[in-house]
Amino acid sequence: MRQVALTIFVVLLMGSVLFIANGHREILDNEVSAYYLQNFTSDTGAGNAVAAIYLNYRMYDTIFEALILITSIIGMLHFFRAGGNK
Amino acid sequence: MIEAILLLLLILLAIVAVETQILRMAVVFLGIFSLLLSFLYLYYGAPDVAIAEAVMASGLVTLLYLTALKRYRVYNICFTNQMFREVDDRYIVEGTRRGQLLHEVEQFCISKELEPQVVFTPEDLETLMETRKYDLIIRQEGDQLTIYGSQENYFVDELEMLLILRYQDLNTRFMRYAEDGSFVEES
Amino acid sequence: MKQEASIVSSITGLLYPFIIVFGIYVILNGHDTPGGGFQGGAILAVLFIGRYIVAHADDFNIGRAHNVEKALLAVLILVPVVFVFGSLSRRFPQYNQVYLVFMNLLIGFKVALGLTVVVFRYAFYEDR
Repeated sequence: MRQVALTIFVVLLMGSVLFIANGHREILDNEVSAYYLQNFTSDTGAGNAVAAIYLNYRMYDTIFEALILITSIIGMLHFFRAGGNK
Repeated sequence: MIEAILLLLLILLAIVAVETQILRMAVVFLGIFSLLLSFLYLYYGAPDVAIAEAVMASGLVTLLYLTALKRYRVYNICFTNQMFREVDDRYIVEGTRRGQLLHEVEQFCISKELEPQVVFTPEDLETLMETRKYDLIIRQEGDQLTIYGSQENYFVDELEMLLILRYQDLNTRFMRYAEDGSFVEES
Repeated sequence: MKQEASIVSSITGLLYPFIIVFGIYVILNGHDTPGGGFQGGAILAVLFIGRYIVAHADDFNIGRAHNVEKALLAVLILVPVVFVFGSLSRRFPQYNQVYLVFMNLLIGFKVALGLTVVVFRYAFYEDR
């Protein structure tokens, strides 16, 4: 009984979220994206807007992503030290 | 049109991957799921994300899952019953002593870091032995329970000791088969 | 999986150069076409891992790869700090493309080594 009620609740919640979000078109920071799309070639010399953003405008993001990768690898090497060849 | 077909296929594959009994097939379905998802990203005009998804999710992650499955071995147990054409879970689970035995076998598998996977089938023994899909076959004929295990598998010996100690009242016996399929007589 | 499957290993041997070329192409053209360091690095990592799975090549040194990766991370942090945050990209706009290609190369090799270390360490050496 409880499971049935939970299932119905989850399905209703999911349906309402989808129904509300269906007609929703939100674009955040309209001016910023328009500026990037107009000026990325002259600013950074890239032909691909994605590369211009992740290597120049949003450089912090890339640096800390690399840090996350190396931190996870260090953690894994630390915790799996028993056995295997280091 | 293409978008709708891809989205419906994604939902279908996700459900199939969750509902599949065999874990290996579920991993393969997940790989197909990621590949279709990367096509969808390409359709939406994000080729960068599509490349990353295709390489990571359907290449590396599938590989990782498969190797993890190989390490965490699955132990296939087959429960067969000649008397009933249709064996279902209810028959074995409903608090009988045999249900306890099956539960005990599963617990033993978990303690040995194997993942038990029980299949109920009304097929007869010969076809089961031919396919060689199962590591352990439990066969019920009336009151007689027979457990078939491979001769090389030391795991079956331990299981035999355990079950004989605890389930003396059940009419249980063990049979071993050699690599070529012939039965080995117990001394 | 102990013995090699000859069909798979010979076909994969045929595919190695194409995988290398494709990965480096994706990295080097990341600033102009879709792709980039991360995607190309993942493709190169698939090359290393496939080499292990098919041919059981056991000569990959995890410790050395990890050290190289740390050095690459140091360069990866240093270069944009000098070039972008030091506003050299405004003063010398002709080096912008060089910077992009260099960064993509660094990220690509770092990701390739990192993913290879992860997969090797987690999947293949743990059961010894």
